[in-house]
Amino acid sequence: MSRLGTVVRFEFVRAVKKPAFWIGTLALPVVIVVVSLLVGVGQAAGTDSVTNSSSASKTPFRYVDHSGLVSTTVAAKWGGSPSTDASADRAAVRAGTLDAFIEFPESPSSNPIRVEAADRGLFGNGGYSSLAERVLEQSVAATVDDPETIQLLRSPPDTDLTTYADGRVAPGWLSIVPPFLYVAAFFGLVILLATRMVTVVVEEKENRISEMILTTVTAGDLIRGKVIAMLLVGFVQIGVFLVPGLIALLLALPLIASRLGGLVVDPWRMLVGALLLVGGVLLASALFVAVGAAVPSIKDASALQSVAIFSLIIPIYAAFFVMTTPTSPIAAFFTYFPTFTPITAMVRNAVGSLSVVESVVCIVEVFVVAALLLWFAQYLFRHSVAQYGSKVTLRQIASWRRARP
Amino acid sequence: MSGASISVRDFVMRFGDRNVVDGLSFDIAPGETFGLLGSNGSGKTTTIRALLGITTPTAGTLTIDGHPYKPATGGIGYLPEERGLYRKESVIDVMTYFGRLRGLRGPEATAWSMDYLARVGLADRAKLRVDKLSGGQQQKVQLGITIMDRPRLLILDEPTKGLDPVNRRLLLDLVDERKADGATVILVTHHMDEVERLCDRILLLKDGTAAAYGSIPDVQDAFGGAVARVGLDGPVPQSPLYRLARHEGHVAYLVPTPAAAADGSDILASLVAAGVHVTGFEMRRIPLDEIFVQVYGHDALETATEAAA
Repeated sequence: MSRLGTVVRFEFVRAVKKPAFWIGTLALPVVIVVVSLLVGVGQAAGTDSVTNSSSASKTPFRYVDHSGLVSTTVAAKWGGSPSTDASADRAAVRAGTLDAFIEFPESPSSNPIRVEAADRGLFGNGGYSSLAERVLEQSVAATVDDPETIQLLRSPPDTDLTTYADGRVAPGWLSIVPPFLYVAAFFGLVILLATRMVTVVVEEKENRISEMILTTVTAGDLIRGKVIAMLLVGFVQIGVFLVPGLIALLLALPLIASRLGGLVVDPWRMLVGALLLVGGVLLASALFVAVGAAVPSIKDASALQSVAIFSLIIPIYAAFFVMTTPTSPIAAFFTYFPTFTPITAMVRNAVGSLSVVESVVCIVEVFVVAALLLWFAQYLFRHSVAQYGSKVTLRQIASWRRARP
Repeated sequence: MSGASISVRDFVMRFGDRNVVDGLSFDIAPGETFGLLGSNGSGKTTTIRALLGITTPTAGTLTIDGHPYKPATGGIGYLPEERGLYRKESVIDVMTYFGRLRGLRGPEATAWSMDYLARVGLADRAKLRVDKLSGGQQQKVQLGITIMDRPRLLILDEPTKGLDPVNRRLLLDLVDERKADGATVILVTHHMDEVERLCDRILLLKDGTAAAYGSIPDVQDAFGGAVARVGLDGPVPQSPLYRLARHEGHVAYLVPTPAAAADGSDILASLVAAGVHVTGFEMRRIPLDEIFVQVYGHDALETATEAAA
């Protein structure tokens, strides 16, 4: 086995054989599933409770109708009777002897219905508003004979939108889902890889192994071996996350198939997204390796590591702006600034605002920058291999360049 | 097995605006044990790192068997001054990893490692994590990795630094074995007793240049050749026949001047005539540590203190 292969094997095996790795890897999907179940069950119960408590129910109330729309029959069905003394009824509500007093305005379409009522708690109070709306709604419906009109009054109609681009049906919102998965995958890999990449690179210096090992393997092979091994570890983790997700998707597919009609998988966008993901992960890895190569210990790496993570994921916060104004100068800056390119280009690719030329430029850029960063990381590592107590400074790097023969 | 030959020609290493090593040249013959001596910052470790390709020289050529060293070449055992191990991995995994990197197949590396661990009394620790071993046990593992696969060139930078007496003896025995096997050995040390015991030739580095270079007798001759070791009570009087090099307790080292007789008889006579109570008198070659003090002066005090620590 080559030395590169030996490094890959050693770093990969020792990462995946640790119980802590599997505990950490399995814990995340398990926690997500458990929390989702708990939230789902809790939400279902809570929603039912809130729906019940906030829905209209028969309640003793008095009302004043300035609109002339309220039917006394309908109001009586819900427990209401016209007020003869509004002030007395308001006082009764305040005293707790009457549940509610409702004042329907002259124009309910432009003015609110005023309700004064005995407190039933935050969720229960919603029932008064529903009561007032039902009384008015049913009173108005009672004046209309046509059932279709009554149904339209009660619930607005659905729309089925079909748009065309270049003579063909244009993909809808669901079309952005598949290429957007690359953004999620990149984000996850960056978070998973960051500490691991930095740690394995800084380890030789921190434990004073670097000089011994560099007589048996070149700095280039050592760094490349570590990067490959950690990428494999990352893929194992992603696989562990994906398998339960895919099983759940297969199980749920029959239930949601009818809603996936608009799901379009565009081969070009998927290819561009995949290349941006691979290049982006390489770029991120090289960045973390450079951080590891520049510091003497993992403790010293935390600040630089945070900067590196931030520089990769900050475009997430600008994603909406970039999506809505893809031709603006700021969007162009986010698209082509090296560490911003992976996420920005993947987002624009997902929503279809990345042209073919821009796609090619971005893909080439991330791969070239990844290669340059990896070269720089090796350079840092090789030159600072025996620098055990301090970070590499820019002045030092300049002095290395000057001292070259 | 034949040892490696080493050639260093006009080696310069510049850090910032300062030449840490400045035009250094020397050769080491196959099978030779070579002492690289010097005070802190004199350029010893820098020379070794450049020889092994860990750092790039500013100028000059450093070759092993006629070629700049590359890791793919192999055949080197290097115990650096700053040394450690993968602390979270098992002893046998770490040793096997280094064995693989040296070109051994996995089972070979594991078998060699188990034999070595059995020899040094650590067979039952093979599957323990390195950080569960004591400092002395970790040192034994480092030594094992250094001599794994019978290297043709063994480079030991401050090898006995921090070693307990048991491991120091083990190291010196291992060096003797490699010497007997024909390997070339480079020893970087402050311990002159180790140099006198092990080395065929030495190079004294001062401020990145050679202050002395050659066989131990040649270097001793270059620094006056002989010294009088005198056992005495009381102070040493001044005399044109000698210069007081060192006076510790009841022993003084006197360096004869050209006016003194070669056998030191007139020095002894002058001491007795001055009323000194002499309990012993011996003419011997000037010790290396005396040469060290002569070359490095005050720098040597710091180095000697560190070596003692």
